[in-house]
Amino acid sequence: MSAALALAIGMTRSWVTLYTSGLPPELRDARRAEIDSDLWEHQRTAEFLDQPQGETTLQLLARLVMGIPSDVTWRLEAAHSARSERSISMNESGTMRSLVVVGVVVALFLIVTGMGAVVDALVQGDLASGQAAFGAISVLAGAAVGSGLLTSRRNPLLGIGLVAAGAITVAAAWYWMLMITIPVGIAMVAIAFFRARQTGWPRGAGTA
Amino acid sequence: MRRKPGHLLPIELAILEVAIRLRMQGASQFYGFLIAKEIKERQEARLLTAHGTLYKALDRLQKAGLLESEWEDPLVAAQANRPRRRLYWVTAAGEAALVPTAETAPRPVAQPRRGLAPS
Repeated sequence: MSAALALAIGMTRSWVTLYTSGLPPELRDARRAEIDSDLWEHQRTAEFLDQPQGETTLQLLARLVMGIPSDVTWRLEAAHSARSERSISMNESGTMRSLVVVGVVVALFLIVTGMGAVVDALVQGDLASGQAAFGAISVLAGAAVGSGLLTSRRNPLLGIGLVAAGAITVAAAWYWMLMITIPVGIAMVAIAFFRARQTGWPRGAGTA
Repeated sequence: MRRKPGHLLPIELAILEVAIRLRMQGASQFYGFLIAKEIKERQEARLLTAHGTLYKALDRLQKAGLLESEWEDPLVAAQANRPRRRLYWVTAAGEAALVPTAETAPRPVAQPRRGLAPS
């Protein structure tokens, strides 16, 4: 297996791990197992058809990137259902929901930008350059910020930690835009913090 | 935006149609990648359906009672040396959901056959 194909598979698995984190175990494990099975079938079918590994890599990346909006909405719906089932009575304010949506959009921007950089490096056949690494870092940072925002209510410490880690990584990687990345990063951490506070955290009510 | 109850998205219709066609060909159950591959071939698309789009649609169809699923027997998967598949099948409600769509779809215009002179 080529390094690029392994990277695409790893990125897909990492993304699935991130957006399913914090869900009930049966839901989380089922989605992860289903995507694992899909990745395996995709690889074997491509081998059977003698498809070039570069093409398989691009197909996997396209399936990953184009499915991200659906993954995010599925995650929100699944988390909402899980919360309803557990009868958590505290409702989230509309303002906070809007702020979280804005934060997730920013995170998606980082992911898509990073994917673009990786795909461009793949197309140019220049994986050794810093561009691919920069892209991968942006994807991971975006995924950390997005998943941190989404999990900050259910698991405040993990959520705030992920958002902070993602924001610091972005500030370091995009150092020439510190005037923008630092305030935006602080805003993201603040959203995660106040979202967590709505559940009563840190007095122990945030771990539903 | 909320969807009307009973309204199926194009991806959901494609899944049901392809699943029913597979069953007519003898495959009563299907799994995610198989349906993505069949949809790609049927629509002559360049790309397979994205993971998120596909599995979200399968989830919605199942919640609506149009599909059912079960995990494959671990022994079968182990013998084939691959991860377990989640196997889906179309329910009676799933078949019924396609009927109104088929009835309201525009019918192909009949073309006159060549070489046949009007009697």
